[in-house]
Amino acid sequence: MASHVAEIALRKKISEESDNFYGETCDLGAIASRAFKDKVAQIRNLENIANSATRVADILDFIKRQTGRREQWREEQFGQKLLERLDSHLDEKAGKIFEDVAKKFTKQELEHGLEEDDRRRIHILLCREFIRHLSAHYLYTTGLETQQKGREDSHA
Amino acid sequence: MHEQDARLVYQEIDRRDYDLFQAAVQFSNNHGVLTSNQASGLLNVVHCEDNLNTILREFIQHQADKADKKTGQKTAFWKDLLREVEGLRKQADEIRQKLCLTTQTQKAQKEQLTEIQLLLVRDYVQHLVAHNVYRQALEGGKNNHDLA
Repeated sequence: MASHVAEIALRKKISEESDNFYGETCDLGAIASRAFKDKVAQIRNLENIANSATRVADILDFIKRQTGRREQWREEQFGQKLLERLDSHLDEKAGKIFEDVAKKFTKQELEHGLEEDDRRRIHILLCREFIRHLSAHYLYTTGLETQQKGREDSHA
Repeated sequence: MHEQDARLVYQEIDRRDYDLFQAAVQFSNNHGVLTSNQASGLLNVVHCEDNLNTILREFIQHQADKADKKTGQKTAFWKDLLREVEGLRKQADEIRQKLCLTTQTQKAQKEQLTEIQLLLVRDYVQHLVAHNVYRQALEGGKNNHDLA
């Protein structure tokens, strides 16, 4: 586990990266809204898995199983796109954060230096942040559509 | 295995899990898609059986023999899977050595190794079957070789 100094540096980098996810998850959130409509449980389950998993592969396996078993997950390639983002895209970002922090501080400053396991932790934390933003976009979009539908129904 | 040792082993397996995941995905991509029955059968055996030999010999080897008889062709999937699963013993030994797990006798050491290998096999098969479910839906009839 990273030292206190490294941990703060890692968390700061993860927060910065999380800000970028807002824009990246807009499209996926809209797709989720069209695919799942008001079936909130699908995205809630995804969030729960992401928050409780200690391994990225468990999150990816969950998405694969859902994509394989449920048609909604295959709509507009939602499952496939999500997998691609979480797997290769965020793995790359995790590697970059790991290298940036390792370069920025000397081994003495980091006390023990970064471990390979920190790279894995970064990846999981990035996945959680990504899914958190995705869930927010989905709920927002679905909420707006539900409200719009309610207005249309009342005018009809 | 002592509780303390078990905790260390689980942590070490977690560290290696992404590599195991990628290996399982690559294995699946290099072979045909299992039927749902075959995939769930494999997953059930691996999770319910505590005896590694039962998994290796009685299930996987049996599937390989069955496939040979039915199609008359060597079915690479089951034979290669057997090799992969047996190959995980080397990783199990690396884990045991890294964590400096000690045992009183050679027999106990062998049992400990088998226990760790079984944990690795379970994770490997979990990733393999999940990817199989995914491929089944996406590839459908395109690449659905009957491996029976």
